[in-house]
Amino acid sequence: MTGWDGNAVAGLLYDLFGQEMTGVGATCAHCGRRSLLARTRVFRGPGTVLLCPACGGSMLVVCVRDGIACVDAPGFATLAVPLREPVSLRPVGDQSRPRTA
Amino acid sequence: MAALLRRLGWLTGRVVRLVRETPRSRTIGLIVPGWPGHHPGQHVDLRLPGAERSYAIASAPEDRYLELTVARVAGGEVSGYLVDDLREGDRLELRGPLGADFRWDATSGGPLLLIAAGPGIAPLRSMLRHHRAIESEVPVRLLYSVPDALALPYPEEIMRFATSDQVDVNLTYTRRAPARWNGYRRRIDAPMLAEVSWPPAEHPVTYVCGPTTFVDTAAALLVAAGHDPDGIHAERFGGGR
Ligand SMILES: Cc1cc2nc3c(=O)[nH]c(=O)nc-3n(C[C@H](O)[C@H](O)[C@H](O)COP(=O)(O)OP(=O)(O)OC[C@H]3O[C@@H](n4cnc5c(N)ncnc54)[C@H](O)[C@@H]3O)c2cc1C
Ligand SMILES: [Zn+2]
Repeated sequence: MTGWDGNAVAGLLYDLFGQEMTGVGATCAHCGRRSLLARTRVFRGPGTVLLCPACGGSMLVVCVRDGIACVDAPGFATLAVPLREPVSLRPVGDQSRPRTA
Repeated sequence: MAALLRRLGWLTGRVVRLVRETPRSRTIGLIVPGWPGHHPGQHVDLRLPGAERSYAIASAPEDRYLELTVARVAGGEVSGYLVDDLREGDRLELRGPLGADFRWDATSGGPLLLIAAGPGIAPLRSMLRHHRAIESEVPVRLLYSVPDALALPYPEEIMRFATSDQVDVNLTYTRRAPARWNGYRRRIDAPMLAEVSWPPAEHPVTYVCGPTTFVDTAAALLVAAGHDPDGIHAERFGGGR
């Protein structure tokens, strides 16, 4: 099993942070490199682990059990979580409706 | 901060169209009441009893149905069900759209370099359909790797994309090429990428998608050829190839 990247945990991160997070940059506490969360490497076992794509160091460990998420962040030197979603083009589509705030 | 948190709610989609694409894959067309729309390249999470999986959105934002193209994985719990057992009229729980890095629209620019293997074509099909729908002038080069002609989903549509002046389509058959094929017949490698890609100096916006080992190989080859890693958007579906 060769694993996934951060795109695979977009939904999980949304649950944890209340917003789309894969476009957010995080600085690795081990090597100092900044990467978008989409570009981390992801391994799934009993829990989900996000690894720094540059050094392989563990950045975030999430275990979900019975609807409770245990989060351990051994590898974020910084993670800037926007308090409001960045303004983006409204997606288009026949089934679309404007998103309500 | 708690007050700002929002959960991405689950929606119920109704299966309205099922199209057999290859012996191993099928396109599922859904109507999803409350669907907020999407950007080409984004995906959904699907929730089945006891399992959650991600699937790229294969339709364009302009399309009537939300489409997913799913390929059966040997021993796969969810993909086997979706490809072989799901019926028209069935309901599927899903949420999205998800993904902020692996998405393309007019604001993302170009030139566009699209590289996929197997089911990894799905989100690129959304991009190509959108590119056509908005009559984008952005030049596109697609490199698509499949084992053989039987494993090629939407062949007519891919050929139709190739009729556009903006879109250059390159296929490679890794196991068996059709008779009289004079294109590539091997796994992607550095010379193939050098022929197909925009030169690094043109700063292409690149999307690579498919099985994890394929994406790893393609991304490493691009970086080794001098492409800026920041310009390479990758999405790994898991597994080998
Ligand atoms: C962001 C994202 C988008 C995706 N989009 C698509 C898509 O558009 N179409 C699509 O068909 N799939 C897509 N996938 C893959 C999909 O989420 C599932 O992993 C896949 O359908 C297998 O699930 P399963 O339950 O059938 O297999 P499982 O029961 O989870 O696994 C069965 C066996 O297959 C292996 N395996 C797991 N996943 C894969 C894989 N992807 N390839 C090869 N072997 C695997 C496992 O290691 C295991 O041994 C996407 C994945 C991600 C992260
Ligand atoms: Zn690091």
